[in-house]
Amino acid sequence: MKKSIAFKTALGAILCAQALALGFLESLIPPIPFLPPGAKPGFSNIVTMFAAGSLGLPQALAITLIKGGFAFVTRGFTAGIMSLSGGILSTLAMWLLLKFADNKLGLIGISVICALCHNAGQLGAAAVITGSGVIIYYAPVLAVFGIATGAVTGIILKAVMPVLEKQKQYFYR
Amino acid sequence: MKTKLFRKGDIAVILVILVAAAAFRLYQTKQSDKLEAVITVDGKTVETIDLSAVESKRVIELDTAPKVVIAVEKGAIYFEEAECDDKLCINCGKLSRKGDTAVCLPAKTVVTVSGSDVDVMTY
Repeated sequence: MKKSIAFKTALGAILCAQALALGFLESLIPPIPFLPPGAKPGFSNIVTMFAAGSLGLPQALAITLIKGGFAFVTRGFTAGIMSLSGGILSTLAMWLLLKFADNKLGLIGISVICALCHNAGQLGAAAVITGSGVIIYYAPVLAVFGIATGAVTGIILKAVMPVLEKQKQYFYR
Repeated sequence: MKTKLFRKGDIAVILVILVAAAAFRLYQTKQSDKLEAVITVDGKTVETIDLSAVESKRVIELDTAPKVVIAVEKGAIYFEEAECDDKLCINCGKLSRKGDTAVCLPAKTVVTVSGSDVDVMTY
């Protein structure tokens, strides 16, 4: 009987820490030329996607919210809004696709769509902040970049899945 | 979590995205020949510059918070200084082709290069 709220919370906290650590690691990667500045691989979505597929929507959303809160505290208001706007949209997409489309799409396709949802949410928020729609100019480059990062995220998730499932088994029995 | 890594549907997803991105990019670049830069702050256009008509380099200091300095030269425009932390707008480099955009979110400032006869807001 290990499925109590305390165990769920503990696992959620560990996943949050892992997502934040991945986010920190990717911040060490220098800016990539030809890409809109601020474009990132989004490796922390490996963790979010695992949570959305294996633990459920509330857990996944909790990780996303804490990531957003962390960005807000450490990098400021704009970063927080950008993290949340993209994160919430892509987490919802992850959960829906993993639940209802996993007989048609693989992790790569789902992850790519989620990367695009992440972009869309962020572009939308940026458009609201700047009060100008021209930011949509970034969309095509971001979309192509999103295919690459989405595919990589999906592949890494598949590779680390056994470990993440094992980690989960310590808390859910 | 038993989702497969790859299914045929994934190829369709990627192809659709690639085609849409290419079409959108093409649409952006086939606008008129004139190179015009538009600076907007908080949604309001503060300056429109015909980049092909710029003779020598000049700077535009914007009274935003944080402050940003935008430099204009023949055929290009770029953020030269910004008082924010991340300097993302400066890292955008020189904007010289249609569709190039640099944004400073903290200062709510957008610099974009477009053709002159198109209302930027219609995008």
